[in-house]
Amino acid sequence: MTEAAVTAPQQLTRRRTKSRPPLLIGLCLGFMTLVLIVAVFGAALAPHDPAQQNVLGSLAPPSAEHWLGTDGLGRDVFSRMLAGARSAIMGPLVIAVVAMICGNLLGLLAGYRAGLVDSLLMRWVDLMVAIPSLLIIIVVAGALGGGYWLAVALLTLLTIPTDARVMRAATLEQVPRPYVEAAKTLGVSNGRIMVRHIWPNIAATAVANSVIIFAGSLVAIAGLSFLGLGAEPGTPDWGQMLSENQPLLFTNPVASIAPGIAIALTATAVNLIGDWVYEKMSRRGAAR
Amino acid sequence: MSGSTRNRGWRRARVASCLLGAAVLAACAGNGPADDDPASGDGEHPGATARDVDAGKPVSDEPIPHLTVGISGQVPLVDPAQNVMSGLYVNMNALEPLLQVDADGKLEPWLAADWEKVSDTVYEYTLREGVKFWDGTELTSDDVKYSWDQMAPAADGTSTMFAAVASIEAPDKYTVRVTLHQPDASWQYVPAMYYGVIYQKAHAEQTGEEFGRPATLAVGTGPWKFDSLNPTSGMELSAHEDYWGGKPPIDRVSVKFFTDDNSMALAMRAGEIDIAPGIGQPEGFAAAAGTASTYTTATCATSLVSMPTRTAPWDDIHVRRAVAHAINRDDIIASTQGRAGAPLHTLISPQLFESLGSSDEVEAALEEVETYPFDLEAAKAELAQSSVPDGFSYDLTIPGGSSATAQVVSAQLAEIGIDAPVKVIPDTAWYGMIAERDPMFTFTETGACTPDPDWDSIFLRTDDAGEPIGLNLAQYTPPEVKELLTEGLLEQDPAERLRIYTELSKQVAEDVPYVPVYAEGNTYASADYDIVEYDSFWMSFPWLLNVVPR
Repeated sequence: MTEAAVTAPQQLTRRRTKSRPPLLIGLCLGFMTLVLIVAVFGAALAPHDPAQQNVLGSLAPPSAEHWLGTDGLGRDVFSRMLAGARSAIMGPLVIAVVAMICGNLLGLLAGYRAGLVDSLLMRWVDLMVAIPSLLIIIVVAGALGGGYWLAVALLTLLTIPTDARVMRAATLEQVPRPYVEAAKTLGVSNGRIMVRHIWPNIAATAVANSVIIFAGSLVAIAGLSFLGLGAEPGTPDWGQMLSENQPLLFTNPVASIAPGIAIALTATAVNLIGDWVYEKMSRRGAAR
Repeated sequence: MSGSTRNRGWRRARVASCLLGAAVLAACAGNGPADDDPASGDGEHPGATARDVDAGKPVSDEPIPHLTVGISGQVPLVDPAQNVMSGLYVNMNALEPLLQVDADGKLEPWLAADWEKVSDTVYEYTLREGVKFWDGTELTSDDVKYSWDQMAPAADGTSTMFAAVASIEAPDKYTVRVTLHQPDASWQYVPAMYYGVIYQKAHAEQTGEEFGRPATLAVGTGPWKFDSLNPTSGMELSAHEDYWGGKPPIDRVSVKFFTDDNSMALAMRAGEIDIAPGIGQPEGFAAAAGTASTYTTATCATSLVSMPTRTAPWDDIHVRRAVAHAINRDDIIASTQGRAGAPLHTLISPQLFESLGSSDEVEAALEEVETYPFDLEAAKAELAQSSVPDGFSYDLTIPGGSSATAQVVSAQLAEIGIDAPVKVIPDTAWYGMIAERDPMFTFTETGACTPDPDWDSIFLRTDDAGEPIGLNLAQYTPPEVKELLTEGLLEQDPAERLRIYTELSKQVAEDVPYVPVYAEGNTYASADYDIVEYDSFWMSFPWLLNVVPR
């Protein structure tokens, strides 16, 4: 207990790394590569046109022709799964990247400049974090009629403050360190100190946080689509398929289970990869 | 005319919207027309057979100690003036109407033993003598007057067609006299509808503001009496021993509320409920509910595609005709998961003409009405003649609930070059757009109907200035249509009314502001019971009297 409590973070991560089977990460990386390929070439890889309806041939069970059967409008579920990978990946990617850029800049600024800038930024962050984000999105998207990119924009806005707070904490830890003092003494500009000196030292946190945001957004967007506030009806989208095909649970269960599994697997894989990347980066930092 | 017309248009719109809401609530399960019935040995399903017993009598005498009924949605209170949604399924077994619509669409006596049209504006109803409320007191004309007065637009009734009523009198103990502002042929059905039910005046006055709420409920004459109501979970009813039709065969009725069809189907599978009288998506329900089977009947409610006739390019008749020819009803019906009753080609459902003539006369009249069968070549030819021969793009804006069907419509229009992406907006926003007269290309189900052809005037109403009101989604306002609608209500002779509504149908078919798609269906599900005479108006009287064991 005592030993664990005083163990330095680097040692902790190193020990965890040793005990983790690399096979799991390999599987996750393989799976994500597959998802990315499908996201890029999805529609081209699909055996059928994902939007092609055949209402009179609906609810077919899985077969050689339709690997995952057909849905209520007779569309090929497997093709829709492939085409749906793009919206599953695209939105969360935009959210993670934009939230990372904005959140990191704000976090660095607040942590480094301190004083009034810090107070103002952090009170704004407190305010935003106090808002129940998913609820706000449901209300706003509901009032404005929903839509995929509206959901993405709202999620991005509501994610930036969380990211900023984490990055501010990481920055605060770096500011008193000698290398920052040294840079200041040498007359390096504040902007350069923040971006070129401090940021590389908190990059592991930044990346790990963004990966968590990516996984969280994936689930959140799927949830909004499930509620009818995300992707437009008819768009192949995993969350939307989950909702559309839920009533088919007893007629073609695969149609609703498959998108659910895809969402869960992708979110899990991204989280595990994020964890692994963080450890790799922290270790590199520690060794330096 | 205008004031009451406008009022009524909106009131109907609200009834329709409430029921639409209920339908949306109900929708969450399954797929294609379902009519798989193990009980129909001789070919005719019990649901399609007529009640062949006297008023007040149960169809089957077989005693049932306890029946559990599942319904979608919740019942917050039992005041008929305020409760037009899921409560109907329950209310009608406890609170009764004066008349009943039979299987042929004709009016039959219920609480009223007799009725008479004294003049074009005066109707007189003679109550059955010896009808007892649950507390043993006798039903009198005062109770009827009181119940109906509460539905008048001036009171806070939210659901009625009582706008046509000038006064309601109770000249003696058993006579009720209704005077209308002006002749209105659609009034005759109001005493047979769910919004015209009767409850005890004394109890209602005594409970005042609290009337109808769980603590006080209501006192009626129905075969089953309200015992308790828990707005979140369900209701308990028990047999009314002194019922005027004799002690009903079901001793105790428990009603359970469900948030969606799926959970209700699973409850039926587990044996927790015996019968679900109104479900949204029969095929999914049947798949989930195990041994239960469903029966669907086509009602007089109309689902339709509506085009904003005052807005380009929809103001071009060729565009509207192209859309009408491009709609493939079979595919759309298949996409409703069994919810649709039958294909429909006229705005006013043929069922609603039944009260105006023999089936031969009605058939002959409707043959004159132009229809637009599915024909892609004809659709493309019409579009080629239009102002937009190369097609165009316009959102298909719908409230939640009809998304699957709208997607099929959208795909069908894509075949002729019309790009109509489906845009789902919240119900409130959809009604907001109607109120604001925003031009909207849409698809809708109305979820309700009355037996009179005037019902479909909700889609055609205009105010004095000729501006669309109520559910006139297509903003369709030719003066001739307005004249025909007015004439149809003022005229009292059925044969003449048949001519008027045929004329109206021809005019609407000629202009195609709407493409009628299917007659909406009502569906019940059960493993052990059937509901006899399950038609458009199955729940406008104590339908539990029509429940028969298989």
